[in-house]
Amino acid sequence: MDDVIELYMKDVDMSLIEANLRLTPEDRILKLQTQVNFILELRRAKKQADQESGKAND
Amino acid sequence: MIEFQPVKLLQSLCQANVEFVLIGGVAAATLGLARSTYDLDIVYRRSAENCQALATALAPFKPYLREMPPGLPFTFDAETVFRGTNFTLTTEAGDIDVFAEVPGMTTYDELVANSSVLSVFGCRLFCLNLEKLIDLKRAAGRPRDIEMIAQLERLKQADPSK
Repeated sequence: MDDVIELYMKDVDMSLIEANLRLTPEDRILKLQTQVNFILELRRAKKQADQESGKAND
Repeated sequence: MIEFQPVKLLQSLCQANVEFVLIGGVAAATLGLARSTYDLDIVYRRSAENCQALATALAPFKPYLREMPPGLPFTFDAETVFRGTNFTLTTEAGDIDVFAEVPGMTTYDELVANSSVLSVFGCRLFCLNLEKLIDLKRAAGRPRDIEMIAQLERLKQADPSK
């Protein structure tokens, strides 16, 4: 597994980590919470759009 | 839609004086990782008193076993917690996984010894340090964690103080 991990390490975007390290721990958690809820809302909207699209095609 | 509210969950755990260590994706984010996670992971001390505190802390959020059909006779009370070990729960504040034991740990006190105390959102809580977080992920041995382990290792390179 270590060899595979080494390969993945090469592709890690350090700019994202460096941006987070400039935040306080509290702000990092808040950023995560906002980000995740944004994604969940997008998924919900997509699901709703798909359902409405399915109804429109009936 | 249930929102993911780790802040609310952490505050409730602290207010109920639950003894726990923050692990998993939220711990990783707290340490600096830029990666989404959709649940809060904690390891709790297995004592009768702490099982009661944990049940009390989560009661306002109506915890239920994740991905189980609704309506099953499940109550997340002190007895349930004490009779079990690990629970993957959905709540009105998002998903939370509560573990009494995880691969790579010996005792709860060992995890505490490998944690830092964080003061966040009016709480003081233990957050597992980066080295031990990597150890737990490696011990879990899941292919899906490989990318996260790589990110954690790079985070360690970027900030050796952790």
